[in-house]
Amino acid sequence: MNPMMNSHRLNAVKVSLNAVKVRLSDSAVLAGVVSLLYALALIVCPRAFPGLLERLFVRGYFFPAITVLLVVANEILLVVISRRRAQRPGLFTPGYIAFLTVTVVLVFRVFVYVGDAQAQLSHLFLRASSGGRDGISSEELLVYAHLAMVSGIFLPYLLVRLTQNYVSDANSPHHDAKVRNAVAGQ
Amino acid sequence: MRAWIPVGALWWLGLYAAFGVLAPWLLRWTRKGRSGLNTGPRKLFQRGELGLFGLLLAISAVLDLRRSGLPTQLILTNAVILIFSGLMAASAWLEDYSRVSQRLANPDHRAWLDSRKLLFLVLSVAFTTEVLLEHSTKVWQQ
Repeated sequence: MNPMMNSHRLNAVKVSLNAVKVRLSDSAVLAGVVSLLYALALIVCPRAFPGLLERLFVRGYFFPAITVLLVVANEILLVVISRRRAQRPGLFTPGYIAFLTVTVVLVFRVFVYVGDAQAQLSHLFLRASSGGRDGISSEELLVYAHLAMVSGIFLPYLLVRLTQNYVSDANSPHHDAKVRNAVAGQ
Repeated sequence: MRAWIPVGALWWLGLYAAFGVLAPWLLRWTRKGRSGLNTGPRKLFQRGELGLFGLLLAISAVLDLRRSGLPTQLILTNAVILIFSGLMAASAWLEDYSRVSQRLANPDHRAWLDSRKLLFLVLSVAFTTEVLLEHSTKVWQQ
């Protein structure tokens, strides 16, 4: 076989076997923009925005809405990254990112419910003396919502990047062998 | 003015403008015509030094958080997110430093792009944290 043709095929197979390489800075811009928009919403509507979040929380739509928004934003970001690098995302990476996003939001859900339970308990025991709050305050909810949004975008990509580093370090010889086998098969 | 724009939060934007934009621009302007040196921001921060500035910003925002009256678990969660993003920003400089010290190729100036984007993240989170702190202080004062 012509060596030139062989190396061309080798490169083509390498490109098709490569997963989308995610860089940390890819998600940093989106997370930063979301954070700034959040601050802008709070500056422009200092009463309406916290009120809206509190109503969503009381009705139980707060975390499902954040989960859907973050999963959609992260998947769109992955498509944009893979298009920019002319690579195909495959099925595993989008699924992994969606799983990590849902997990991050779940962790914040636990934090908020623990804070809410603490406030209710203190209200129950300190009602007579100092009049503790009946549930989590809208200011605490605001901070948690901001952190959930930033972490829901930044942390999944950070974990994907760390996983990719680990897998590429562990599987480097195995990957090369796979590429050579694929070329030999052709 | 104070009711609409949180003045404390503007401090972060001022810092970014001073170190990220104004200082490099002034350096470039003073050297213009006198030497053939390229002192543009990309050249000045090509090793990812903006990432180190991001870590400093994150640390100072965490120190500011400690002085707020927020519940402990909120301060801890916010501090962890800030420190993580600051460390990732600093890792852009660290990665470039390691590549240069090991004489590895670093052709596409990734350190400058990565550190700039990660500094933007740290700055945004620090700015929003300050806005939230100021909002909470106002509400609790009322």
